[in-house]
Amino acid sequence: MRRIILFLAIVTATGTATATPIKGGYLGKRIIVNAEMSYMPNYSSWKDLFMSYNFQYGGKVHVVTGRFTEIGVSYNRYSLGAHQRYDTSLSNNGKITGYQVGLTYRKYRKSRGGLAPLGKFVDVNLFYHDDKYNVVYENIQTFAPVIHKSRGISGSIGFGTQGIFWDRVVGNAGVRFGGPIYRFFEEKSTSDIGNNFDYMQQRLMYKDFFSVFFGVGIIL
Amino acid sequence: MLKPFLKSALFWLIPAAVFSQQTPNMDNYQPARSSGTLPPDVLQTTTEKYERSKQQINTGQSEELQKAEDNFYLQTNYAVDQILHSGAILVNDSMGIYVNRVADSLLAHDPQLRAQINIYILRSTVVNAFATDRGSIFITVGLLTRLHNEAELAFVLAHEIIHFKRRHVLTGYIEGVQMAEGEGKYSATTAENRFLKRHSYARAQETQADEEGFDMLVASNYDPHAAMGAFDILEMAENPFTDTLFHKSIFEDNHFVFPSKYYADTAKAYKIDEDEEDHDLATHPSVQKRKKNMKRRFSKLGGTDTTGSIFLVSESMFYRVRAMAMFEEAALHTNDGEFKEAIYINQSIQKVYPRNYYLQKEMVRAIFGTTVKKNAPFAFDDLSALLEAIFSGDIEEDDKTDVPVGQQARTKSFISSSDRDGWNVAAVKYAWRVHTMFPEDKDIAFWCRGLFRELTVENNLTIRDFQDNDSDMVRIGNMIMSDTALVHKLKVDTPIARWQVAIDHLDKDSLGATKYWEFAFVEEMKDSAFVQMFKDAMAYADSLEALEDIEDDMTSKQLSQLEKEENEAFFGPQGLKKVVVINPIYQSYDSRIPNGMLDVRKSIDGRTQMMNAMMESANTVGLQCEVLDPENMDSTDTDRFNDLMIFNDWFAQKGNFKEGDGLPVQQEQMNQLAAKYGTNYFMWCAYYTNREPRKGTVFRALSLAFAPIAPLVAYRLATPREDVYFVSIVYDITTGKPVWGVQREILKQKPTDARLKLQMYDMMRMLASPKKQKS
Repeated sequence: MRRIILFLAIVTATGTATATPIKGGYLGKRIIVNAEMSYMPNYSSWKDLFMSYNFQYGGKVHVVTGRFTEIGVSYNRYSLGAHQRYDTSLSNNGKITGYQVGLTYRKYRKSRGGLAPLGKFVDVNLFYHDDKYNVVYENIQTFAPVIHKSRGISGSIGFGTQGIFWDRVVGNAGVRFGGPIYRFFEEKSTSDIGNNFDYMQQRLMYKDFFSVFFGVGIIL
Repeated sequence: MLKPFLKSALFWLIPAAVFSQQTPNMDNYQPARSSGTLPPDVLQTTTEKYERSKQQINTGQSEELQKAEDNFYLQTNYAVDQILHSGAILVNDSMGIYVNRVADSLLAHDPQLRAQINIYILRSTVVNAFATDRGSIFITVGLLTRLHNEAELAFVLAHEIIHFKRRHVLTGYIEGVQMAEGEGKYSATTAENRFLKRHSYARAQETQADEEGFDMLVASNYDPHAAMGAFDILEMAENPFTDTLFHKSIFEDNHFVFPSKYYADTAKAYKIDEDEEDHDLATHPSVQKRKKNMKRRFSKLGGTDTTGSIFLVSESMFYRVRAMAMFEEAALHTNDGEFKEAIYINQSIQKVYPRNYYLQKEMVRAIFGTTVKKNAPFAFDDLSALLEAIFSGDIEEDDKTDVPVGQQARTKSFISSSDRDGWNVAAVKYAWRVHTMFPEDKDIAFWCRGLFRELTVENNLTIRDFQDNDSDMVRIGNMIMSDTALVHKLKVDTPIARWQVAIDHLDKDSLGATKYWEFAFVEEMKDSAFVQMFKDAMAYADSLEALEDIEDDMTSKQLSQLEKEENEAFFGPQGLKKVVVINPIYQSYDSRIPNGMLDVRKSIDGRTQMMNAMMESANTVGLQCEVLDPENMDSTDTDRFNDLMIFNDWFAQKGNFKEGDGLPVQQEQMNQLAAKYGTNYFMWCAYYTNREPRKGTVFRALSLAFAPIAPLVAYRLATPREDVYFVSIVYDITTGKPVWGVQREILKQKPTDARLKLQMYDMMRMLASPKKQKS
C-alpha cells in the first residue's frame, strides 16, 4: 500500500510540474480538490435493482495538464449492503466494505466545446481496491468471525460534465461504466458456512458496472 | 404614356444641369472622417443611456405599459448604439457640420429642442433618414447625393425632428405591444385587423411628421416648394442619384474594343410609381398621397409664406457637401461589394471630374473587386456550400439584360455580359493607365499587380497571348472594306472602328484564332515596367503551378500530414506580442423573447464581461491587448474612432471575399495602421449564446422511471437547451491573411461566466504561447 501511495504522490508531483503557467487550465488555476459521491444499482435481484443502491464517496485531486486534459488521483470508500437469505433458518446481514485508490485521465471533449476544466468530458479510471466482507449471520453463532478479503485492479470509463461557479467551485456529474480487471489476492474465511465468498465476488464484479456520480470541488 | 417619362427626364435633367454648373473643386479630396471631439452619444455605454432614458417612464400608466416602455428604452438604446459604435457614422465631419447648421437654422426659434438633437451622417448608400427617441437623427450619404437644394434637406430634417418631438418611435412601439397583446383599442378585433390598424397608425404618424415638418419649414423661411422636391427624391430612392450615359468606350482605346453584343443598344428610363393608394401593410403612406397632401397644405398658405429661400446657410457649402456625398457613395458601393454600382457612379462623376485622383483610385479599386469576383471559380462541393456561396456573395450576380432600365443597369449588364478574359484585360489596361497617372500611389500599384495575377493565374494568359504590334488587327479590319454591307456599319473610318466591325460581324474563319483582346497591350508593351509587371505575374502563376505539382506528387498520407500541420499551425500557438480586438460582438438570443429573440440585457452585460475577460486574460498570459471600441474611448479619441471605421470597412470587405482572393482594400492605409498600433494582428471576434426549449420531453419524462439517472433527467426537463457559439479570427492586416482562428460550437452547454472567461483565456494564451517549430 505504501508503494502505491508513493507512486500516486509521484504522479501528482509530475502533473504539477507539467502544468506550467502557460499550459494552465482555468485562468491559470491548475489544481482541483474534489469530493465525489457516486451511487450504483444493486444487481442482486430485480427488486434490489430498483430499490437498493450502493454508495461510494471519496476525494480526488486533479491537475489540469493541458487545454483539454487533466490527470488525477482519488481515494474512495464504499460500503455495499450484502443481505442474503438462504432458507428460513439462516440469513446473512453482512456488509462489503472497502476502499480504492486510483488514477484518472480526463479528456475534455473539444468537439462538444469542452476546455479543461470546464465542459463535457470523458475519463478513464484505474483503481486498486481492497475489499472486506464481514458476514453476520442473524440466527446462528459461528466459532470465528467470518471475513472474506480480496484485492485487485478495476477500471472504468466515465462521461460527465463539469461546471465552474464563482470562479472557485467546480461541480460535476455524470455516469461511469466499468468492472474488475484483475484480482491478485483472495482470502476466504474458513469458518464460513455459506457460499458468501462467491456472493462477494459477484457483488464486486458488478459494483462498477454502472454508476452515477456527483462531485463538488475547489480550484486552488 | 409620355408623362412618366417626361417627369423622370425632368427629374434627372435638373440635377444634371446643376451638377455641371455647381462643381466645387474636389482635386484634393480626402475620404470623409470624423473630427473634433467625440460626443457622449458615442462614448456612453448602452447601460448608461438606458438608465437615463428610464427616468422618462410615465409612472402614471399601467404596469404593463411601464414595462413595455422600459423594454423600449433598452432595445432602442441598444439598436442605436449598434450603429453609433460600429464606425458607420461620421462625427463632426464636413457633411455633418453642414447638416447640423441647417438644423440650427430650422430650429432657430426653438433652442431648447435644438439642444436635444444631434445629427449624424450614416455611411450608407441607401436613401434614408431616421430619428430615435434620444434625439439622434441619422442622414445617409445616399440621401445627401440626391438633394437638389438646402431647403429639401431642411424638410427632411424637419420631418425627422417632428418624429422625435412627438415621440413617434416610442408611441409606435407601445402601439405595437398593445396590438400584440390585444389591449386598448385592439381589444375587440381580430388579429388581422389589429395588424392592419397598427400599420395605419404608423402611416398616420408619417402624415403628422410631413404636415408639422412642412409647417416648421415654412416658419423657418425655407422655400416650402422644397417639400415636393423631397418627395421626388423618395420616389426615385431605389435608383442611383444620376442617370448619366454609360458607354463601354471608357474601357477602350485604339487597340482594344469590346464586342458590341456586350453593350445594350438602349436603356429605358426609370419609371415613377403613380399609385396613390396606400398598401395595407405599408408603414408609410404612398409618396403620391403624401405629395397630394402637401399640395393641399401648400394651397392653404398665403402671403409671404409661399416664398422662401432654398439656401439659408450656404449655397456653396451645400454643393460641396453634395459632391462629397457623391464621392463617398462611389467608395461605399465598393466597400459593400457592389462593384458594378461603384463603377457606374464613378464614371458618372468622372464626367465632371475627369482626372480626379480620388475617383480614379476608387475606380481601380472597384474594377479590381469586379475582376476578382468575376474570376471566382464556381467549384462547390454540395448544395449547402452553393447556398452559402450565394448568400455570402461569392457567386456573382447575373445582371445581364437586353433592355436595361437606367444607365446603371446598362453598366451592370455590360460587365456581366463581358467574358472573363476580355474584362480582365480591360481592367489591367484601366488600372495601368491610372497607375501611370499616379505612379506614387502604392495601392494602385498593388491593385495593378493583383489584376495581372488574376490574368495569369485565373485566366491562364501570358504575355505571349498578346501581340506587340497591330498589323494583324489592321489586316483583319481591312477585310470588311470588301464587304459593302459591313462598310455601311462604319461610323468613322479608323483602324479600331474597322476592327470593331470585324469582331462584331466577321465569322470565326475570317478572324482565325485571333481574340478580340489580343492587341490590347500594343501600346503598353512598349513600357518596360508594364512588361516586367506582367512577367512577375507570370512567374507568380508558375510558382503556384509548381506548388500544385508538388502537391499532386504527394501521397494521400503526405497530403493529410501537410493538412494536419497547416491546421496545427493555424489553430495552434502564435507567439504574438500584441493584438488589437475590433468591436467585439456578444449577442444573446432567447427563443422566448418575441421580436428578433435578442436578449438585449444579456447582450449588453455579456459584452462588457467579454471585454473585461479579454483584457484580464491577456494580462495573465503577458499579451498586450487593446480593444478598439467606443466604450473604451474618451472624447479626444477621434483618431481611434476613425481607425475603427477603417477596420470595420476592412472586415466587412473580408467577409465579401473568399480566402485567397485579393481584396480591394487600401493596403497602404492598413500598413500605416499596423505601424500606428504596433502590431500587424487585428482580431474580429463574436460570441453568441442561444436558449431554446429542449426537444424529446416525452422520452425524458419516461426516463425518470430509472431512478439512478432521475436527477439528471429532472434537471434537463426543468431547464432549456442552451448553446454557445464562439468565433474569432486574427488577421495580419499587412498581408490581409488570417493567421489564427477558432470556431467553437458548444452545444447543450450553459453560457456561464466561467465558460466565457475560459474561452477568452484560452484564446489569449494560444495567441501568446510560442509558435511551434515546423518539423
